[in-house]
Amino acid sequence: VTPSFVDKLRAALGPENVLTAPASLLVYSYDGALDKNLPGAVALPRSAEEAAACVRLAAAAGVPYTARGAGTNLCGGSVPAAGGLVIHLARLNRILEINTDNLRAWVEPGVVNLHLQNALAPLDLFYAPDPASQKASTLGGNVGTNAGGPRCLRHGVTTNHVLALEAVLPGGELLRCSVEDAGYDFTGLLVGSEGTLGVVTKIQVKLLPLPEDVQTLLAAFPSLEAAVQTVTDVISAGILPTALEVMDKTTVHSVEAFVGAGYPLDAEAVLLVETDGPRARAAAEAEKIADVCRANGASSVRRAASPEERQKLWEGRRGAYPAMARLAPNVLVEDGVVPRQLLPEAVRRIRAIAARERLRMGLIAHAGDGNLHPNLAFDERDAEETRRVKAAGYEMLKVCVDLGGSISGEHGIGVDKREAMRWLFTPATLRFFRRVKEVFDPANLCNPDKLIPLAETGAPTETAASSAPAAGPRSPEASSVPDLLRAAQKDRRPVFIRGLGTKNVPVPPGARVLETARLDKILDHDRPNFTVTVEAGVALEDLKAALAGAGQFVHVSGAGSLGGILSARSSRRPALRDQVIGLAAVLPDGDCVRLGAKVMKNVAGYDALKLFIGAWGTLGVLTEVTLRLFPFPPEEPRAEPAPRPFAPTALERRLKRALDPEGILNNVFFEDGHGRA
Amino acid sequence: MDELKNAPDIRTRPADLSSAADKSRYDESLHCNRCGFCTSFCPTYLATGDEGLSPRGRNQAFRAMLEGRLKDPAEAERLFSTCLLCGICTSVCFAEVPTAKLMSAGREKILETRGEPWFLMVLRVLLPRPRLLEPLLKLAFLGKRLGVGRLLNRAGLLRRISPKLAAAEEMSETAPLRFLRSRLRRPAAEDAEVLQFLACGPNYLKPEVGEATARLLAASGARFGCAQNVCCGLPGVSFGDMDAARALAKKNIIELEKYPAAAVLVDDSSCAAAVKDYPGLFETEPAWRERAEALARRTRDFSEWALAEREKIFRAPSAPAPAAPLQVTYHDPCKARYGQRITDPPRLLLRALPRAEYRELPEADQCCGGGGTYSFVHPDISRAVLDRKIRNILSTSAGTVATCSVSCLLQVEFGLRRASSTVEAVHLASLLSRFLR
Repeated sequence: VTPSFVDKLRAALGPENVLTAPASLLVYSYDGALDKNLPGAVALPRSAEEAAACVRLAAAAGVPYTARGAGTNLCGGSVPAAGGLVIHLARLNRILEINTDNLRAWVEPGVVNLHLQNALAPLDLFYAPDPASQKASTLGGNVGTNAGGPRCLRHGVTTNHVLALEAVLPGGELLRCSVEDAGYDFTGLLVGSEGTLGVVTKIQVKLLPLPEDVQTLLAAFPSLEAAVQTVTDVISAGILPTALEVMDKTTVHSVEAFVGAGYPLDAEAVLLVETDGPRARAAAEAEKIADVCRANGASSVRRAASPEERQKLWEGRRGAYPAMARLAPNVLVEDGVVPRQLLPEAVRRIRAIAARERLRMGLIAHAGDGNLHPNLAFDERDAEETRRVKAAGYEMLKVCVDLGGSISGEHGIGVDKREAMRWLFTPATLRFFRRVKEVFDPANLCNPDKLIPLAETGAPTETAASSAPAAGPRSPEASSVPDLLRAAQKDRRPVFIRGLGTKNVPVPPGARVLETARLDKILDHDRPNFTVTVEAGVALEDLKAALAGAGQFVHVSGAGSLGGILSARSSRRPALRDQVIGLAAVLPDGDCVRLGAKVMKNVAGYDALKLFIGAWGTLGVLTEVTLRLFPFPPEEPRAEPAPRPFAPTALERRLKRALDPEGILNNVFFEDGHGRA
Repeated sequence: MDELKNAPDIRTRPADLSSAADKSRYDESLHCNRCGFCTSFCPTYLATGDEGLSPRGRNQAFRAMLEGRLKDPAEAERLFSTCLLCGICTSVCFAEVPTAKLMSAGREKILETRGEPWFLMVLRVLLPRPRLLEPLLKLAFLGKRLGVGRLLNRAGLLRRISPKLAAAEEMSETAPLRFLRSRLRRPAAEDAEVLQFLACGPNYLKPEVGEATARLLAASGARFGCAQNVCCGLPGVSFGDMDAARALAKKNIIELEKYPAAAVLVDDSSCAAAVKDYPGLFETEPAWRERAEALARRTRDFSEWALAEREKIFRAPSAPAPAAPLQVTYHDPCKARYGQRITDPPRLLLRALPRAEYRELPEADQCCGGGGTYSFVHPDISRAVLDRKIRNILSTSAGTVATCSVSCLLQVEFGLRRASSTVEAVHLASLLSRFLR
């Protein structure tokens, strides 16, 4: 940061809106986690235009910048890791529009999550994502981390509720995108990108009508295992509550001291369950849930009798992390996620680590999602203890990865967990993330050094550090795809993907046809976890037939293979992007990437799997798809509009060129005149 | 950049402190784990969106100062001095970090290095000596009445001399030339049951409030009289001049101990909270602490007292029905809500008034931005905070807003004037006294 850069900022924003005094810089060096770094200046823009001006000035001066909301991030995501400029968006705090007819709202990124909820409640509406930090955290920050929260079990996380975005891209141009756009799902990509691809300046969110009735239960268990088993049993019984939260004894004790919610102090674990809906249904579900709790040995099951009592119970749950501050100056909150039924095993191993290292730990879990938060109390002034805590936290994440889970369910990667990305993703997948970042931010100024592990010193190092399972195709039929694409790149010969042939797109002349119909295996149906992984050539009808016997359902409609349905996004309601939790693809240059995991929540790395949904095979060949399953059949499918290929934008062309420089794969959709009809 | 040469050290380390008070403040600050849950409640953060003006920012800067990580402790002056000391942050903090207390301590540290001499003089010389203070105040008020201040302000001269004075001149409408003590002329008898503590606000700025309190006291049938107290010491606590605060507290303790059985009624919640907080001033003086505790136990905030004595004050059917029905809302002084955890008594009193309709104020947990002298020391922030309060008051459509501290009353009156509103702001005591026969 040079004096002349600061002068220009001051001229653009007004001198009082640019901070450079040492004490001011100090308080922008941290967020809710441990990592710290001093910025060179802080800008407090008052409008989207001023925020855009900050980005343009920083880009012109080559100054790195980091957008910041409330700074409640738990992994250093909003810390200016490379110094430079902090763009603090707290003043962009207007709710621009609430549309009660189409149930959407436009908000600025600095709107506090709870302030939006407060504005919606009188209209009998709510916004579903409710991170525990909702009293303070901003919607911009929620978008950055793809925040979850207790009630996302039924309603989904931030990405399922953000319909459109406006963002200033690192080059200074404005991107307006919506989930309804044909083509690449940049909305889905930006959500969870931790502010590394642009600065979001406007957000359109989906609103939901407040339920008629809410039932909240608190059950006490003699063991954590019993509580977690209850969670699996509730979902297996065909009930998807809004929230299923587990807290251990240590947590209950620290919270109860402040909140006084009446949590049972003698139980080893408590389970907080909430369900809502029409009065009769909610009551019946609550009854059934109470039965399941008792069947698993609950010593007491208490039902909140009033809204105030319910509020108190939730206040206790939301306070689980800050209340740990009563025990020690610092709390490290880990954020692992595992297939739900493996939670007891994950908890067993995590507790063993804490015991071995003699750490004070409270455990809470969004158990319905398999998302667990070990809270480790320590004092950062004790360097030795800090090192031990950090190492133990990493080890706990490794446990989650070993169990087929992920290193972050909702907090993000930030600075803190970059290295752990190597356990989860292969070098090729990390390379893919870097290429995406480069397309958006070639100068690497936009919240640099986040999310992706640093120090790319050549492939061998990365391979050595990587412990991720190989991403290559698992079946012999699929294993020829990388070679075929590599050969095509070399010969510059077009390749055209063909599944079951239901999309009626003519094969371009001279193109080699890559048939996926033989990728027809169901690889893994994980019943207790409610997930299925199939090869991309599997016909939807075949998959439905295979699942029918288990009483589990995919909520996808239409004809053809799953790969084809995804690529053309021909099943629209409910949105495919909300059901695909993992996929494997071979990129146009033959690199094999594996994105997502068999878990309900996952914010590790870019949510790039969404790019492949509706991409018409232009970014890669899908080989495997993992879907979440439901314990109930879908509603009757509505008539869907015919899928339409897209007219690529400049940004889409840049991404395509970065991944497929020779333009060999399904390039017909990028050729002039195509899709413009 | 020049400023970056003074870059603070971001690595935390144990502070090397000698005084016991510093050590306890430091330990309290350590429990801020930077979760940030307080930020969206803090009036100054809501008004500015500046992390440095949030409780978390202030705590971290305070900690950095004690750990010696700021090259010059005075760098934190802006962060510390802009705190309204309202206490809402502590009420939402799971670790209950006492930010307001830490900010007073922070100001004390800075005062040690660079005090404002004229203000120290007011605190240390004038406040303990009403006989010196009162003639000076009268002189100033006379000037105000003659329009000297307004004239200077219009000409822009006052702003040039001191923006603080200019803001103060603009804010205050009242300038009584006879103070409460001489209006009441009611020294306490030896067997008084209630001592009316003459807080500076009711005494010097709003004597009609104290007169209303006296009428309510008389209606209650209690034997009462005026205490010969001096300033409660709150300005000393606010500005970080703890020695001045302790000197005033000791003077008051000695005076009030002359009536050991009497309840001490304070009709300004800010001062009531300050008297109840006396024990905290004497962490290292156990004997004084004990005496302070005894006084705190018999000190009553106006609304607590009025609620307890309601039956006696309003002996049925004494209350006359007002000419027009009253819609009233209530603004909680922070020193009542957070300083004394008083929220129900004023509401119960208002709800019980005949032909009155009580309407709850949205964001009733928020400060009005008054904060004693804050309103003219930081007029910009104070007015931004006030604007939010006024919007909320107007949203209730109530014709009257009551409160229980003169600082809040002056601030809300000022805000309503600026908004050209006809809503009436009134002290709870004044409002209740209208219902006496």
